[in-house]
Amino acid sequence: MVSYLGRNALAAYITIADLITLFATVIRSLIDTVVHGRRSVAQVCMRQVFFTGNEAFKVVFVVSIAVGIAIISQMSNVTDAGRGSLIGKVFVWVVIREIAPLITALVVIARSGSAIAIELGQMKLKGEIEYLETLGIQGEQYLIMPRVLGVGVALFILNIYFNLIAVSSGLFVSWLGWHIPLSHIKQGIISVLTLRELLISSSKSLLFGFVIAALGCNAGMRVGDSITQIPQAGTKSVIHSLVIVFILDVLVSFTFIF
Amino acid sequence: MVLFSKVVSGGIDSVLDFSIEKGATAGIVTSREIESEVIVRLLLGFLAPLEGTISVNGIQPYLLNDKNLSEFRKSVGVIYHDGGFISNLNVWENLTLQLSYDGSSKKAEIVERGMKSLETVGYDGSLYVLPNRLSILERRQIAFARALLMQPALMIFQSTLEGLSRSEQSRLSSLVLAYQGQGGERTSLFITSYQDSLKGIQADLIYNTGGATQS
Repeated sequence: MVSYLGRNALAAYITIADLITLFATVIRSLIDTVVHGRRSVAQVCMRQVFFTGNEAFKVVFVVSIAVGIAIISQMSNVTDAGRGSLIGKVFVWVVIREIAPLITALVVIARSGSAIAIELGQMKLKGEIEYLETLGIQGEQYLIMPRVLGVGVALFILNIYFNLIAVSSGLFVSWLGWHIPLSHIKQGIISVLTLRELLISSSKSLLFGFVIAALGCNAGMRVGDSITQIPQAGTKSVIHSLVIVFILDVLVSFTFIF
Repeated sequence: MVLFSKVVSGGIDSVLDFSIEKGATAGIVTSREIESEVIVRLLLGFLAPLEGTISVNGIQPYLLNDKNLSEFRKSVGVIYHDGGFISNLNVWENLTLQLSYDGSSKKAEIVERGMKSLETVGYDGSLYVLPNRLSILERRQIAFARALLMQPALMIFQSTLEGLSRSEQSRLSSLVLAYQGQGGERTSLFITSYQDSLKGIQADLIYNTGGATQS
């Protein structure tokens, strides 16, 4: 029992230490990119934004509509149909602040986090990272930094889409199904939607994006000589990302509360 | 100048002790493929020798920090046996990656130099296919074209003339000979486990990791 806990604690410590080291590398690479490699690195970054954002958008679109409708349905049942402004406030507190960054992060973990781990794992196994370094290109600068930035930016954008679609679909359904005046809900939203709320939502999505990509890169770069380590890297990236994203969610929420 | 002085390394059975003058064309014949790979990795600073010293134009690659090592590697062209490509980049992206990353050339100049380099090696296939669609000859042609773009002081050919048909071998050999014929202080180093593949090149020195050296 003690050894089991010890092993897990050590594994958690190593993952967090790796994550911190990786972020330090990303910052260093970012500075290096100012000097050289801007064009190639920007290309990789843009590709990552496109693949992460574009591939996840369809899923985010469907889920955000569903979430918007579900929230409005539950709220309309528990509150008096006349209290539209409360529904608007709940929308900001629940959807914009909490659910949107979390659900978009979950979609990106499932799609891009594991994909990054598998892609880098394959590159490592096939010696492509060494090929890259043979050309005088630093792996961290060309492979890790643009992916971390790209996923962060993509998640930030997906979060905006999620909020807009969820709120719009919720407003539409509440008006159509429960005949709640849109002006009441809008009033509720506007009364609590401050810059602070937007900052919480945006900072969460950016942070989650950076962490998901960093964990994917870390898992991929740790692949050794065996092909069986590639799917393991994908799984590891998903599990670590899930745990860390939920912990970060709580930490960020608390930071902004106090 | 490439110098291996009493080098001992994992994966190599014997002690490597040879020197290659600047501008020379040399062949290193290894007893097995893994030795060839290890020698390339030692030359590029991916590995440090267990004993002895290695220097390339006065630089000991394994002693350099990451930044200086990257700079050093830019001065070395490597034609790996499989081309050494990034599998999710197409031919053109692989060809121009180093030049584009280097940032010293404008886009139009990269296009011009890239096309000229492909013409030099005689590649007339598609620029937009992924490397796994290419034949072995095409891979090596493009790898050679990529190396030529950076005009390296040292060109390393790892088993480049192996696994090809006779006509392909002579086609690639003639490219290499033409490159060598351009003179200057270009050093070419062929590392192979198959000595017969060196017949087509005019080596100034052939070093056998087993010990025998022919000049």
